[in-house]
Amino acid sequence: MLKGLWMTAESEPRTTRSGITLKDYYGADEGVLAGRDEAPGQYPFMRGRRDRAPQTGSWIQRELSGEGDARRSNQQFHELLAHGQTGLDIIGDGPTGAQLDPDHPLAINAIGTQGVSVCHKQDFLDLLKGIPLDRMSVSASFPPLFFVPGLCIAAREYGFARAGLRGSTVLKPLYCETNGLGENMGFDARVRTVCDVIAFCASEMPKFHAYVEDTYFFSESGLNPVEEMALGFVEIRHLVREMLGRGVDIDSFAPRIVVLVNCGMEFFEEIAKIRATRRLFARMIRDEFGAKDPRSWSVVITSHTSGLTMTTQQLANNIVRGTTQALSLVLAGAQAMEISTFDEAYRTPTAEAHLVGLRTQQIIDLETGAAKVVDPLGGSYFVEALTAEMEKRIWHMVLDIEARGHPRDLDESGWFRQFFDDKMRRHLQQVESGERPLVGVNVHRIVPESDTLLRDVSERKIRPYRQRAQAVRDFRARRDQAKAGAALRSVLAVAEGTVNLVPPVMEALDAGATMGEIAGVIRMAYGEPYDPFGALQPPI
Amino acid sequence: MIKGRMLLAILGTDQHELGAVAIAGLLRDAGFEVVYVGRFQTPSTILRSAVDEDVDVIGISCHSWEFLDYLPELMALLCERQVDAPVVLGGSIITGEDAKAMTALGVAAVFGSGSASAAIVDCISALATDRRARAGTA
Amino acid sequence: MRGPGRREVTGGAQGEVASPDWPALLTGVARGDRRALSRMISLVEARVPGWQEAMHQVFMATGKARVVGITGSLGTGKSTLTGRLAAIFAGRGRRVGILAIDPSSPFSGGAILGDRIRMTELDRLGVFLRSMATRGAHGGLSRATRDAVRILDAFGFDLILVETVGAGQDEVDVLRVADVTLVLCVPGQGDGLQAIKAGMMEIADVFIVNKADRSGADQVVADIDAMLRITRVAAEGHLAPAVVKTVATAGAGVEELADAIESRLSAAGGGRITGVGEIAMEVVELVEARLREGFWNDFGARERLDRLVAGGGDPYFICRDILPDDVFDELFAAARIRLPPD
Repeated sequence: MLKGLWMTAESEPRTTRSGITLKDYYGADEGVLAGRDEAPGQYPFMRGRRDRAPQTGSWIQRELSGEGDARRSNQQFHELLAHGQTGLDIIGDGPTGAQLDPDHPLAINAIGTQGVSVCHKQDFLDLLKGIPLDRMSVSASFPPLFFVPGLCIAAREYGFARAGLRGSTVLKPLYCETNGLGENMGFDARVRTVCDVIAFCASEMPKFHAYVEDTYFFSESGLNPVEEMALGFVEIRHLVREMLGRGVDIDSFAPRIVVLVNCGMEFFEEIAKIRATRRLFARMIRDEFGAKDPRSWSVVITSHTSGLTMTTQQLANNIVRGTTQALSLVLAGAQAMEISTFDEAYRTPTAEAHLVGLRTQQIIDLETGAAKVVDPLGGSYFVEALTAEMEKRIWHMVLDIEARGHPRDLDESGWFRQFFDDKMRRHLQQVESGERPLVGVNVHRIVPESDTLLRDVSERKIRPYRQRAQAVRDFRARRDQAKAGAALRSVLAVAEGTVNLVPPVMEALDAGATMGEIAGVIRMAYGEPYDPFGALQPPI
Repeated sequence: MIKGRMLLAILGTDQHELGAVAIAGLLRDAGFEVVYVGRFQTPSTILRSAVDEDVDVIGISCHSWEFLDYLPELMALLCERQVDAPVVLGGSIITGEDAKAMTALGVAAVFGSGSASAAIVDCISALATDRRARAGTA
Repeated sequence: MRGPGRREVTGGAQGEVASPDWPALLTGVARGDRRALSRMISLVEARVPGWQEAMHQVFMATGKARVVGITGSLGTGKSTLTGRLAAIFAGRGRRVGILAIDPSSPFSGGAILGDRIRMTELDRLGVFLRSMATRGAHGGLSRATRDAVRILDAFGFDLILVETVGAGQDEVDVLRVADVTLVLCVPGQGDGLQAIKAGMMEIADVFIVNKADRSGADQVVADIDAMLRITRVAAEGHLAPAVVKTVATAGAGVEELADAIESRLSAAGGGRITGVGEIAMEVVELVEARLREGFWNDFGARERLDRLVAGGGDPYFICRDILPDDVFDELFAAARIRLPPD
């Protein structure tokens, strides 16, 4: 008794990043295991989606890639696959993400420097050349309304059946504008286009995960795990309601929902977050939204480890961070992952950094045996207690946010923006005060002159691929103008109505229209200017 | 009396550096009026805003390498139009070499990674006070 | 290449504040020099010595501009609507200037002014935009807003849009400078009609229901109509308040809104800002501001106050201590002597 008191007086309350108070140790008296006779592969899937643990390769091992033009990126993909990567995840550059063609005046200094520059049919063909699309998962962080048609066109040209296409596409309608990934489209346009993508894939590409709920990107605003998943669920619920409102059967698309989570440094909390998410999702989809297919109940979890945890100081430390984060994801049963590379704070990954990230995953897989058993932490007093607590808190926050109003109003009134700003400020304040230790930044620092390891690699730059601008103009000049114009007019007409936009967008890409043109025409249908920056005239 | 008026901009398609928002808040808390113009800015839009808003400091938040290509053009334009507000850059991707190059162009301060908020605010305050004295708005 | 940031302090010894060249600025404003316009607004707003004489000169050159006040809370699409209106008026041949007002923090005195974010096309149309903070103005809108309106008028803008958030009292303040007042609301914010404060209900000229493509828009229009029937009686020869539906992002209804504004502008006749009642109120404010400024700062009463408060005592006692009755009476006796005879 006395010893206990002494211990209490010494130690301050310790909390997880989400603010959950931690005991010194947890025991069987927690009571959390009562009624929790749960097994992996069974509703509510907290312990995992599958009940089988393969010897190796239980998750798709990949690194986020894409740089320069499509040809350069394709080369990069083949190099990564040769190193043993088992899937692809592609990110578009700044202009591509903003749905601007490379020849837009604002694109000039950013072409291909933070991702791949893609805007027309030939780009997609160059991008995916030689990739076995029937066997390989191809995921993308790209405007989905273009990635899906682009993928379909490439599949067709290379002789792969559309129905066999694997991979996923990230959808971010609610939070993109407030997190610097604005596609320059209004809320209604954004929601409509992503729902069209989900609906199209539900019938045309049954193996493709058309809805990746990306909680990674917005939680990089300094959100803690509870806040991250709460906002993620708010978005999922909104889109599910939209789809149901369209009369789409829940079981036709729910099996293909993925949550792409962030992975921070707090080891057990990230594991508990994922377990809690699977449980919450299952119960929500079955009990609230009435899904009947067991495959709808189990959500796929993938992850990108946190770039915010990566530092510019003592770059080698980032390799360690990536490793512990990857390990937590493996123990949590993530189905695919990408590790933020050691140069993340400076740039899109160099080849060297890519290799380290991939090897990290391979070493964990082949040498540690950590993935030989499903949910090895199941039954741990601590992890189960933490999982239960996070479940409660996430759900509480979901309901709190939903009570505040429609997501469109929260978006337009600036509530989400304020939310993200507050969290970022909190994060910066915690780092500056030392409340959140960051080795090399606010503790265990070394002088810049001594901090040379890996610096030469990380500080290499990619020059903008300015030649793309003329190349795209040439591409447009060579196309059948009448056909492209007609296809764009068709997109406009469909965008003004309610019919699915994916087929006409695909036809427009096929006819040689570019992404910027198609996006601009969709804006016009929603009454917004073709070019939000007033620099370009509509081609129709 | 306000500390100064500061323009805060993000160039080209550079994504929103969350630090920019944080700095805007810190500067507001330090008594600045922050004219926040956001993303998709170019040298000519920055010039227009700087003149019409009569700002004391021009701040650019950098999260991509676009600043390396835009800054020479911006500094030349400001010089040509005799805009006397100093330019400062902030962003953790700015390396030591980058900072040197920017300083050589005439950028008044570069806040790379590890810059403490208090130091940033102090530096900007000093630049603003200086400019306001020159301009007579002090 | 040496850039602007490297220039030495001019105008005197280190730390000395340069005096503005008011005559040059006034000439610049008269000649249409944007930089002079922008500088003058800053200097007048900061109350730099010489500002009153400069404003006197400015005042002489005013009279052409008409002012439209726009209030609406966050989320009503006010910025977008203002931008669309400005574009339409510019297209109709008007020279348009916009003052976008945002609240200053009551704690730090700073502010975040984000109205330029949505104004990308206006530069091409020659529209001028200046962001201003309320700067602790007691009534909401700072006095400097009124001064800025006049400076824009003298510069040559014939239509000035003053856009405010409409929190607290600054809506009512907008009415004092504006010839036509618009108030904005949207359906489905839970408020709709309630978002419009009582004062605006009584006085605003045009009620705008923006985002009118959302459900509930017609109900809000009906509610406003009903309220107007009860609270407003159309005076002889005055246009009844208009209720307009818009979808600012799509530009829908904005031409009609511009027409409604135009017809009220012609009906208004002279600029309200120069009306007799307004001038009188301004004089009162200016005199009071001078007295306040002089008493506390020039006269040093602030230091005395600090000492007295530190020494203890209640505010009523301290007040009498700082300004005893006999000093008060002497002050006014002296002033009375100076006033011109009736």
